[in-house]
Amino acid sequence: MKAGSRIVDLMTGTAKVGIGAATLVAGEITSRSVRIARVVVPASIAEGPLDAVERHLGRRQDEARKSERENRDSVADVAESVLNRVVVGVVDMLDMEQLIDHVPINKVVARVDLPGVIEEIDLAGVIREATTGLGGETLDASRAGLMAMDLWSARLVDRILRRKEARDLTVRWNGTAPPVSVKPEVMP
Amino acid sequence: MSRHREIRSERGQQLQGLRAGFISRAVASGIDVVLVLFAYVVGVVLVSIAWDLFFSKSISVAAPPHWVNELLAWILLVVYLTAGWWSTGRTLGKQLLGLRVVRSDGSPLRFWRALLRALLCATFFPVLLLALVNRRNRGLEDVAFGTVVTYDWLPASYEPLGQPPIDGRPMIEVRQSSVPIVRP
Repeated sequence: MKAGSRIVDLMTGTAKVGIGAATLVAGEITSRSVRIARVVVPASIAEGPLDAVERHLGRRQDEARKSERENRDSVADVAESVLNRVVVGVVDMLDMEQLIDHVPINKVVARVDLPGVIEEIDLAGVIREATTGLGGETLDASRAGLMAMDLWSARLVDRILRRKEARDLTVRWNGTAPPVSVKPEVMP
Repeated sequence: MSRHREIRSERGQQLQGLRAGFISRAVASGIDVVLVLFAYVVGVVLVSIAWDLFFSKSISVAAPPHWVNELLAWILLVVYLTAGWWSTGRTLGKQLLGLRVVRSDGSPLRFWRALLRALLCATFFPVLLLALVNRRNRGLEDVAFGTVVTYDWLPASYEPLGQPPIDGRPMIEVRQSSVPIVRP
């Protein structure tokens, strides 16, 4: 699609959004007027007509909202497309080599407080966290694997010895706390 | 390793504080033996080089007789195991696999108990085999000296009951009658 037709789309879409917004505002004003009319006019006279107006208004409002949403999305798409084309066009027009020649890179770099930035990042902390987490996970996985082998070997031996009762693995922690991570019950 | 490190493995969480099984214990013991032998070899090489630097014109690595090697490695192993079990209840191998040696009541080992246990284990490795068939995962060394090897992945477990743990979590006791862990 040509850029010109996109711009026309953008303008049309924007106009539709404007009209939709105006419709919504008008509907809102009418709705409030109806509410005021209900207070002012006796119910016996106004109830029927006002109900009909409100029903009609409600339908129109819903349609207007839906239409306004669609128009807004459409306009956003078109606007993005137009903006992309504009940016690409401008960048194509630039002579990058010449532009870079005019940028005082050394001065820019000199103004950056690199030690401050590194200190702010806390690189050591990031590395420490990452390696500790990774090491901890690997260690846990290895230990859990060996635990599984413990249970498996115990099951195998118990089966060979035709034992019917499960092994008792509890420890009588008298006077001493169990490890901090101990849970009260162990699932079979 | 931080005391506040979480145990991510569900099985790991469930088995903490319970008696460790044969495989974990055997692997931990294997690691300990390898570490001690490695330390011994490095020690012999360093002593040999140091000796030659002072008392010899050329540097060479000595090759002690077999019985000297065996005796020194055995002594080193006994010292290493005793130090580990007496101090924290762990050797490096047990630390790596998250195991801890305690007395049957959960209290830490005293020096003589740790030493005797180390003497037995260093002299006769197969004592551990009993843990494979024992109903309570007890090796011969556990039966002989009233000790228990537990899963204990997090450090610093020795806190008397009644005092809050360092991280403020409530103390939880293992239920005596629970845990049919291994179903036949």
